[in-house]
This record gives sequence, C-alpha cells and structure tokens, in this order.
Amino acid sequence: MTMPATIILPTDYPQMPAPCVDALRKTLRDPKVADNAARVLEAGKAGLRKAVLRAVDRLGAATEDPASLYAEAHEIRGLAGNAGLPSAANIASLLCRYLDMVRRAGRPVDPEVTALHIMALVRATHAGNDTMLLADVVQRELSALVARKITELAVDEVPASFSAR
Amino acid sequence: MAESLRALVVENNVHMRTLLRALLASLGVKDITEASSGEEALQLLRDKGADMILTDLSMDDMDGIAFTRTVRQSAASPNPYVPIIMVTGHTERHLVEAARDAGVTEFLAKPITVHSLFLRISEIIERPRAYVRCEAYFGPDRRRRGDDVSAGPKRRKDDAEKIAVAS
Repeated sequence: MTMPATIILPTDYPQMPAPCVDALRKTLRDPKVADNAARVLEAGKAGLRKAVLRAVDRLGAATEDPASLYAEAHEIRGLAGNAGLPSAANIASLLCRYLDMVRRAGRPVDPEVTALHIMALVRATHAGNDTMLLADVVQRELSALVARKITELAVDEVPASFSAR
Repeated sequence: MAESLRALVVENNVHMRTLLRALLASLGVKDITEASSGEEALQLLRDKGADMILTDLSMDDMDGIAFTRTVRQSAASPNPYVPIIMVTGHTERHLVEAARDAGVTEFLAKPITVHSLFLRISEIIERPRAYVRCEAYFGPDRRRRGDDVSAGPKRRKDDAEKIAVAS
C-alpha cells in the first residue's frame, strides 16, 4: 500500500531564530546594504576574470577528454558572468549544452564544434569593450551551430536557460 | 540580530566561495562556515549547525544534489528542514530537476546579482515552505503557486454533485 503524503507546515518545524529574521528583513530592505553588496560584486570581478582566463587555458588543453572539457566550460560559465564577461559566459554555456547533449546521446564530440567555441572563448575573454560586439556576433553564430548539431543528435531539446520559478 | 545567523557556504571554486562569503558578510552575517565539498559540509553541519545553506551543484566527491539529499533524508541529518539555496550555473533541465527533487529550497542562477540573492533570502524568511514527506520524496513542497491544481475535467462523484447544484 502506498504511504500517504504528509504535509509539515512551517509552524511545525524549527525556523530561523526570530531576531535573526527581523534583522535580516530590515537589512534586505536597506538601500545602503544593497549598495555595499554591489560594491562587493564589483570588487570580486578582477579575481574572477583571472580565474576565467586560467580556465580557458585549461579548456584548450582538455580537448581530448569530453568530461574535462565539460568541467572547464562549466567553470567558465559559472564565473564569467560575475567577472564582467557575459559573452564568455554565454559561449561557455553553449559548449556545456552541446557536450551534455552529446554525452546523453552516447555520441562522439565533434572536434570542430569544440575548437570553434574555444577560439571564441579566447577572443571573448581577452576582448575589450570595442570587441564585445564581435563576441556577440560569434555567440549568435555558435548558438546556431549548436542548435543544428543538437538537431542532428535527435535528443530531446533542453532549454538554454531556466527560470528559478 | 543578523550577526547570530549561521550560514554555510558549500562551493568548490575558491573565488566564488570568497564572493559568496563577502556578500553574506555585507548583509551583516558574521558566522559563515565554508566547505569545498558535500562531505566536508555535512561534517560542518553536524559540528556547527546552520540556519541557511548556499551550495554549488557541481563538486568533487559529493556534489550539491547528493549533499542536499543527505541533509533532507539521512536519519543522521542534524536539520532536515534547513533552507538550502542552490547557486548554480547549470542550465541543463535534467540537472535542475534532479536538484529540485533532492529537496533544494531555492535556486540562484549564476551570474549572481544583488537583487537575485536578496530575493532568494527574502523568500526563505518571508515565505517559509511547507515540507512534504512521502515514499519517494522529502523536502520543500514543490508546488509553488496556489493554482497548482488540476485544470482537467471534473470526474469525481462530488464534483458532479457540485456542478448539478451550481446549474
């Protein structure tokens, strides 16, 4: 017989201490706190950018191993957005999407696809503001390429992004 | 006071871990513990406890999904109800669904913004979730909206009676 589902209401399990909740509530509504947090994010950009550059170097050396490729590409997409490199984050995300689909389809990685992404990532991570438009164009081209490759794999499509709710 | 809040940050990338710690510190949280893997985080949770957890998804040894599942379901878990925010760059649907089904409370997609982080923490304190325990799942109620009920045809006996009364 199937066990019936039990619903446990918030009043029936331990919550954060009330003074903590009250203090957090006030803090989250304080514009000075938000400004301070924004400065924290800004201050972290330089360190993250260096980490992204190192990951791009490792990505270039990992072309023989799909798992390593995915791990490095995933690291880049996780860091690049907060490093102020949105195009690099999007290109890395495309590569992750492609590698994930290839793995799930049990097919070999097309070296041309990875090479194009790595070249684009190198350009995007070293780009100044004047070349960001070029990175956007490359990103759109790669997006079309990945979409075509995924169609060829005939695996269920997954969304390029997800909403938290 | 927010200083007495205990936060646990689980992230294998030192740069992102440092950033998350600094962001929590900017909120006035002083008691912040860091772990670079799920295994290490479980030990810290047992030793020090936590009122809120921010965890990555991809980690060596024990990833964020296995960590969340253990916190929620293990008989040895010190607090199966602790709010868990999964901070992730993963956009693959199957991974997001696996994390949700492991019992994650909130998702915070990278890149992190002040607004998105504050929103997730606000959700935890302003709208604490009910928990569901059944054979296949223990964790926050996955139904987010009040209208998450069947919109299909009404086939129950009392539905028919209600429809008859209404007409």
